[in-house]
Amino acid sequence: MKVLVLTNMAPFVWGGAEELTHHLVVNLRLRGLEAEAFRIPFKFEPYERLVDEMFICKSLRLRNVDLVIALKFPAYLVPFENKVFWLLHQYRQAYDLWDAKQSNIPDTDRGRQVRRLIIENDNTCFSSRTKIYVNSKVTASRLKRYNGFDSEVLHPPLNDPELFSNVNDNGYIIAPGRVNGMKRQWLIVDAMRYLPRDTRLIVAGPPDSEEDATRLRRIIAEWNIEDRVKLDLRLIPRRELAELVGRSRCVAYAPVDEDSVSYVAMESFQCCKPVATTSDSGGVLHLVEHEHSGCVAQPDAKAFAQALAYLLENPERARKMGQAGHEQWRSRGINWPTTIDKLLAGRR
Amino acid sequence: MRIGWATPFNVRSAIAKYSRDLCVELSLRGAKIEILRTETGEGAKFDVLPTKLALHSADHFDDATLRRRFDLCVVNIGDHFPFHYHALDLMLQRPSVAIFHDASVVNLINGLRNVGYPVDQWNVRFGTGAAEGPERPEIDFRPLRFLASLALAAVGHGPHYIRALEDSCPGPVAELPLCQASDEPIECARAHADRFLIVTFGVINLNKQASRVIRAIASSDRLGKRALYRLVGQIAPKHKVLLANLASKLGVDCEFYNGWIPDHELACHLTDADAICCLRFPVLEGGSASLIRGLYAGRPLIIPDFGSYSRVPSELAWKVSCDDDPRPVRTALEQIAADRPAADARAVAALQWAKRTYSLAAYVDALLPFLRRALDTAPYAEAGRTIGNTLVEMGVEWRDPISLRLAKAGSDLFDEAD
Repeated sequence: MKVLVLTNMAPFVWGGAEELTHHLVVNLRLRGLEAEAFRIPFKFEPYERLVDEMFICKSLRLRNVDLVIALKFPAYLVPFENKVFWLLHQYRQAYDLWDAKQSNIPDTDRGRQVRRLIIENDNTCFSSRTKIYVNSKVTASRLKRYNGFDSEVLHPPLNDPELFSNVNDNGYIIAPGRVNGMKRQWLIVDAMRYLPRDTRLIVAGPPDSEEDATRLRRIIAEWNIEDRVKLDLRLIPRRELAELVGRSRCVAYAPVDEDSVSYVAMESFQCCKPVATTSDSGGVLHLVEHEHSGCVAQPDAKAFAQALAYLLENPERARKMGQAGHEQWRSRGINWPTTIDKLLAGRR
Repeated sequence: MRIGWATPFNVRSAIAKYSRDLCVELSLRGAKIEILRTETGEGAKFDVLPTKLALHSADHFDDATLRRRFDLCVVNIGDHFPFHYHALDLMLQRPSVAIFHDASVVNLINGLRNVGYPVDQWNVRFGTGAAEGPERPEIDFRPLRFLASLALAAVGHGPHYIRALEDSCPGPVAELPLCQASDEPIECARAHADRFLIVTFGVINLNKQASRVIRAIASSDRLGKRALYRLVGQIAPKHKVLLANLASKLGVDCEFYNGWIPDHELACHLTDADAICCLRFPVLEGGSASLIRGLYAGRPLIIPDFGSYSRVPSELAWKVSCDDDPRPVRTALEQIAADRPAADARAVAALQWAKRTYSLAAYVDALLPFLRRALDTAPYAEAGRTIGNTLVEMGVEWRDPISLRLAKAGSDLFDEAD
C-alpha cells in the first residue's frame, strides 16, 4: 500500500508538526508500507492569500496513491477519495482566534467572506464521511464547536523516546521548543527577574523570526539578567536536546492555548522532569496536573516565577512530580505502533 | 483533422441531414470523420440515414480512446431530447466544439432531468452567474449557457443567442449561417391556378403562427375569397381542430396536408405556393432549415425580422414584426398579391442569394478555420473550465477577487504563449 502524508510547509521552519510528519513516514515504512510526505508550501499573509492557498490545494490531483493521511489546513483540502484526517489544527484564525480577536483576518466584508470560505471548505472536506482523528481534546472540542464534527483523539507519540532519560539534576530550568510569541518564552524569561540570582534558565530552540529573538534579548537586557539566562537559539540536535532536558531540574513551557499535549511536555515526562506551565496553555494541561506532575500558574511573570521557585526550592518534591509525570505518560500507552494501527484502521 | 462528429443520424432529423451533407463536404476537404450518434429511446428507432461514414454510438468510446482517436469532437446540440441525449455525456467526457442548432434547449435539459441528471443543481450553479441576456424575455437561456460553459468553442446559427454563448463559453464563438444542400428543381402540376395559395409548412405548432396568418387573411378585403391557406406537415389533432374552427369562424379557406410529408411532395407544395409564410414567435431555434427550404423554393417568402431570419436582406423577403400582430402579415400578403411578377422576381433573387449564403461550401469555408482556432485555444478553455469548476466547488462567487486574479493570470500566460 502507498501512503501519502499530506501537510504544509513554511520553508526553513521546523518544529513539532514537521517532526511528527517525518516520524509518521518513518514508522509507516517500518510497518512495511510505501510512504512519503507531501509538504505543500503555505503562506497565510496577506490574509487574501488564504483563498489562493485553498484553491491551489483543491486543484491538486493525486495519482498512484492508496491512502492519504492529512494533517493540516489547507493541505487536507487536496481531493482524494481514501483520506484519513489526523488534524494537528485547522486555521485557527478563522475559528477561536477570530472570536478572541487575534486573527490576521480583518472583521470587514472581505474578511468575513474569506472566513466563510475557510469554514465552508472545511465543512465540505470533513463531511466526506472520512475518519477524523485529532491530536488533542482541544482540537476535538474546537472541531465540534465550530464545525459540528465528532472526532477521536489520537495523541502524537514521542518520536525518539529512547533518547530521553533522567540523567541528573543539575538544578537549571530549561525552556525548549520553537521560539515565538505564542509559545511565550518571553514570559518565562521575564519571570527570571523575580527569582534568586543563582537561578539558571536555558532557552533552547530556533526562533521563528529575528523579532522573536530580539524580544528575549531586550527583556534580558532590561532586567540585567544576562548571567542567569542562556539563549541557545538554534535547532538543537535531538541527542543534545535530550541531554539538556535530562540534566535539568524542571521544564518551563507556557504556550498560549496549545492544541496538543505538546512534545515539550512528553519529552519532559519521558525524562522524569516536572513541567511548569500556565493555566491558559490548552492541551498541555491534559498532561500536566498541578502539584502532581508539575505546577500550573496564572499566565503572568510573577505567578510563573512562584511556580518555578517551588520546584527549585524543593528538589525532592520536583523529582517525585517528574516521576509521577513519567508514570502517567507511560500509562497512556501512546507509541508509534498503536498510532499506525489506528490510522490504518480509519481507511475505507 | 480527425473529427468525431456527434449528431443524431436518422431520417427524421434535420440535424442528421445537415450533418451528413456537411461531413461529406468536410471529407472532401481532407477531414477524417466518424459519426457518433446521440439518439436514445424513441429517437434511436428511426431508420438510419444512408452513408459511407463510419457510425458509432456516442457512448461507445471511453475518454482515453476519444482523445487518441480524434483531434477534436464536434457535438451538435438541438432541443429534442430523444435525438440529443448522449450529447451532454460526451461533452462532460471530452471537451468539444458545440454547434447549437437551437437558442432554447429547455426541452433537452428537461429530458435529462427526467432521466435523473441533477439539472436543478446546474441551474443553481450556472443560472445566476453570467448576466441574463436581454435578447428576448420569452427565451430561457440558462440551459444554453450551461451547455456552452462545457464547450471548447461554440457555433450558433443566428444573432439572437450569440451573446448568451459568448457570455458562457470559455473558447471562441462564431455565428455561421446554417447550411443546406439545395433541392433539384421539381416539376409539379399547379393545383389551384385560380386561387392565391398561401403555405405554411413543417411541424405546425403554436409558434408557427398559423392563427396569425388566418387572422391576416380574414382581415384583408383585397385577398377576399381568392385566398387559400394550406398547412403542410405534422400537427397535433387538438391544434388542428383549433385552427380549423378559427378559419371556419373567420371565413378563411384552409386545408391540411397532415402527417410526415416526403421531401418531393413538400417541394411541390412549396412550388405551388403564391406566398410562403415562414413565421415564428418566439424564435426558439438557431438557424432555420424551414427558412432555407422556403428560400430555395423560389417563392415569395414572409418571415419574422428576428434571429437568423433577420439576416436575409430586406429587399429579398417580406419581413414582419416578431410578435402576434396580424396586420404586417396582411400587408405583406397584399403586396405580394398586388404585383405578382415583382414578387416572383424578388423570390428568384432571394433563391440566388440563399444558394450562395447557405451552401455547404460556404459553411465549411468558415467552419474549418474555426475548428483549427478551437484546437489552438483548447488548452486555455480546458484550463479555464477546470479552474472554474474548482472555484464553484469552493463556493467562490464569480465576482470574487480570486476569480479575477486567476482570469488575469490565465490570460497573461496564454497571451504570452501566443
